[in-house]
Amino acid sequence: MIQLRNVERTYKTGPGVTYVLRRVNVDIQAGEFVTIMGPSGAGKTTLLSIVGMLDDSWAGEYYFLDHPVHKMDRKKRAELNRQYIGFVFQSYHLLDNLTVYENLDVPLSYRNISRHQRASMVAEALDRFQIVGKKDLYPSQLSGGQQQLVGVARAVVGNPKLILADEPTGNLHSSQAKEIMELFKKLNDQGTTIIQVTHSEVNASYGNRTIQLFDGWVVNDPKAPKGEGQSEPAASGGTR
Amino acid sequence: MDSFLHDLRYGLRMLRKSPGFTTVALLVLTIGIGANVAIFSVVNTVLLRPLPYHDPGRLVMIWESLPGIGYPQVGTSSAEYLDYRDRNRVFSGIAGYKNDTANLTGSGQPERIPITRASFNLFSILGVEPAMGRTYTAEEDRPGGPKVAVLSYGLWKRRYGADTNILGRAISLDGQPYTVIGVMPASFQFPFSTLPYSDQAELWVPVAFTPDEIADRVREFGTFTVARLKPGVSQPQAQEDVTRVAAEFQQQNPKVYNGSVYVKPTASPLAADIVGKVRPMLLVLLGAVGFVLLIACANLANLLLARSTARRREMAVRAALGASQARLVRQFLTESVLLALGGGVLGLGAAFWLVRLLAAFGPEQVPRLQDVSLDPVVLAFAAALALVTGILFGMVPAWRTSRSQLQSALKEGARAGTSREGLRLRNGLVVVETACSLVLLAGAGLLINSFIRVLRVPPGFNPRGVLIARTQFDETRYPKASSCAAAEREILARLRQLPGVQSVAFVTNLPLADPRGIGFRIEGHPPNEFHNADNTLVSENYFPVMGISLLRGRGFREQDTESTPLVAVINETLARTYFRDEDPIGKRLLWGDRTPFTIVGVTGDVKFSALDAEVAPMIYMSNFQVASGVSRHAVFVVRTAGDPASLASAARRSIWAVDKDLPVFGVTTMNDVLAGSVAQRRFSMSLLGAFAILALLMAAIGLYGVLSYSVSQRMHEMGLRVALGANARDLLRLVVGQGIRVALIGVAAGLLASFAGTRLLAGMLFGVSPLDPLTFLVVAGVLVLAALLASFVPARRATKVDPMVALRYE
Repeated sequence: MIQLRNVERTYKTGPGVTYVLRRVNVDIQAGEFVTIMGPSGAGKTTLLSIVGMLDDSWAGEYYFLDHPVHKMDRKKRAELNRQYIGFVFQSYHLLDNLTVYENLDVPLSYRNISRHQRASMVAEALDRFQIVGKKDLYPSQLSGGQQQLVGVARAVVGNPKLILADEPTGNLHSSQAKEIMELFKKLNDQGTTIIQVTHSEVNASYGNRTIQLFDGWVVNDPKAPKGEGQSEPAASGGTR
Repeated sequence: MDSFLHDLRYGLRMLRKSPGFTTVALLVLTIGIGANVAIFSVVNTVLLRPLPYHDPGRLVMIWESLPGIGYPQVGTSSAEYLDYRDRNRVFSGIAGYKNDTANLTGSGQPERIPITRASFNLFSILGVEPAMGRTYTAEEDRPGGPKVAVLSYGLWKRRYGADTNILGRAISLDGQPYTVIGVMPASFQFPFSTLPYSDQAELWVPVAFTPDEIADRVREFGTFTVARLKPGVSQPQAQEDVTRVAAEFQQQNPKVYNGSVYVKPTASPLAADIVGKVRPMLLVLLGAVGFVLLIACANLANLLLARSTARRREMAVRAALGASQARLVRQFLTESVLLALGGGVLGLGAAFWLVRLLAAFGPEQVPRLQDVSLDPVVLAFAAALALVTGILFGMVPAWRTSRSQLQSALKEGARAGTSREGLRLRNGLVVVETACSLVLLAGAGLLINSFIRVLRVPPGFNPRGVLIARTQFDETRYPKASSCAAAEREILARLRQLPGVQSVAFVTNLPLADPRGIGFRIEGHPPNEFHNADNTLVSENYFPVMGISLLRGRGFREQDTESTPLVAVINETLARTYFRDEDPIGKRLLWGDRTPFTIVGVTGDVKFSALDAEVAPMIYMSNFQVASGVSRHAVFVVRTAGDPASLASAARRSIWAVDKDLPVFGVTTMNDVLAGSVAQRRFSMSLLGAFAILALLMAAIGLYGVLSYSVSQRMHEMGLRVALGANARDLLRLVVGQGIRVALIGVAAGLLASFAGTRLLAGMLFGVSPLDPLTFLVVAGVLVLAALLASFVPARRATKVDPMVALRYE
């Protein structure tokens, strides 16, 4: 589903550049539940953004469902994002001024879907996540766990093939976190590919593969592509 | 006191710290307060400041109307004036005067000046003493009395270089020597040019009614009467009394007052007569600048709201350290009042220049416009305005910040400001701004619409390529009509020879510039059935030179002279009104005691009194048949092949070549005469238009500010939306949609307010209803367009959002 070849991401810092990702080579198959781990600043979120096609300024090759993303312009990448990918954020990132129902409708409203069909898709998601009773509430009226539940519901409402989750339980207490992770597991079992970024070993245990990042380098990946020589985790990730 | 000084110091520091905000706020305030102070100073001088007379509230004018003939407002006849003077029981003094012009010669170029021939008691009734010398006595105000003159301050300064030895000096008026006996103070004006049939006099001489003038009670209603009410007498009582006097003299002279000839007197306050016509316009303008200031306040309140949101943390800390709600409000108000006072000072400066501009370019129809100044009343107004403004725009953010849940600000930091309530408040302010600008735009739109329609009114003549030059023949050197006629013929001949001149003609009263009416009868109709008509005396060729169409019969010929039967040409309206299906050619009109005038031609209608007035019946007569005793005013009309203005000097020389002592004045093009006739309309339209554009700009800036701020506060949301699949167009639509929604609510509110407000303009409109749908549609469209533009820039910025921002924002 995903092939990353020599993906690099740099930031300009004054006269020099800072490497955030170095020669990343990763293959992810459909149906996998992948966890990306690593210390703060390792490049986890950046990698997720690139995979989610929110970041344009990287170098290397990226194939998504055999589409050469690296050759696409921003518009086409956004098209792929809309069609196949759902996001879940650590801080839920629900829109404060919209109700639960409207929040679920937002991603659908950006696709070419009729109002009628959208309504039935939102209704189905509300039903599936058992939040029908909360559909008219605003995010501020929900608990953190409920908000993240809505966040996940929003990510899957458009039936994406891939869910990208950035510290999805970072702001939740353990029982709520467990609930959300169970949910991811269930979605994965139903065929949705999931990539999560987390610091939590417990969360990682829900997945079937963990990729370790350090200073922008992939330092451990049980399914590293063969022949693409994973680079050394040298102390070379700093500013050049 | 100490804490107030502390607030003041802190306020100053805060303003210094954000120079961008302070500059914008001061600019908005300068415009808002400056425009208000300028217009208020005009209103103050013109409407509020008492007239420059003693106890002016007790002065009244006596007007008459001739309802049977159709004259709504004329003066009195000399005999009637004497009746009012001698028989009234309500006036402590009553003066009669006639407005005239005279040729002032000697010491410099001859010039024609407006003068007033007034009874000796005019000055004492007005309660004004001369600045130098004396005014004339009853002894001097009699036929054959000594010829004495009182100069206006302006004439004394302009023509005689403020010569302190002027008293006793002889000057020449219409060729006759007059002795200067006094100079009036600079502030003295009488009559005001805004009184009907009046020019601002530059000189006063005794009226000295002759027995001949007094003999005919209804020949001329050109004597004007100003009177002072006795203490305790009200204006309605005065009205009752003059009505009684008029009834008496009409009963006692049944042969004179019969049929359609009867008069109805009106005693009206002098001040109302002087400012009555401009009062609605000035009040509309004052209302307009009030709206501009309101918009400025809403704009500033919005700016301050944005700032206060950014300063919530500061306020939270202050509250946590023990500041009371009142103290926090005061802190905010100190800053806003400080700003407003700064804006007030700058606004005064702006008003100073605006007032000078208004005095330079304002129309003559606004009395005392030249006297407008920033006096203590205006200064007090400016100070009060600045204070109220500061409180008005500072109150909303102060109240909101002090009231909000500050402890949450401590936890959340700056993001707390994006609440729905805050957004609603800011949007509400923009709605107010939009609504106010729509009212102003609608008003300006209606005036512009009216102005265009007035300009489109066919005047009935062709003003292009026509030069005008005026002179006045004095009675001393031109005692007979024949001597005037000879000079006129000679001047016409000289003008005709100028290169580039196609044809020339002569007229006593020019359309749109020199109104004149007469009463006439129709031969064969009942002898007491009088009608009125506009009237002018013309030479042959006048109709072709002016491009007035001749519909039937003929125009005047050189052969029409004093020795041939009197002829007249009438306009279409007169023909239609009084002759209906009959052919008017050959019918005869009666005017005064002259032999009947035979109608020889009918012309197309010409707008004579004003472009926006109905055409009245019109009688043209030959200047060379009836000039005697009618008019000594001569207007030469020259049709040229090229630019008429280029012939101005040559035309002057042609007149002086015939008589070097003739004053030449009013040399201009007919197009300028046309433009001058709509000057007041143009003035009010331009001012209201300028204020409306200002309002539109401020409303657009306000909307831009709110959206910009909202976008900057919502960058995270925008990024999130992109992460959820929104593309640039979605974000553009989101932000522009927000702007347009707010604008549309404002437009709807503004339309409702305008429906009520534009009725006040009804009297200033022409050919367009105060609810003209097209105007409203256009101004609503303009506002929506402005809102679109104002929304577009922040919307574009929203589309540039980096979705990474959303992901990193934790």
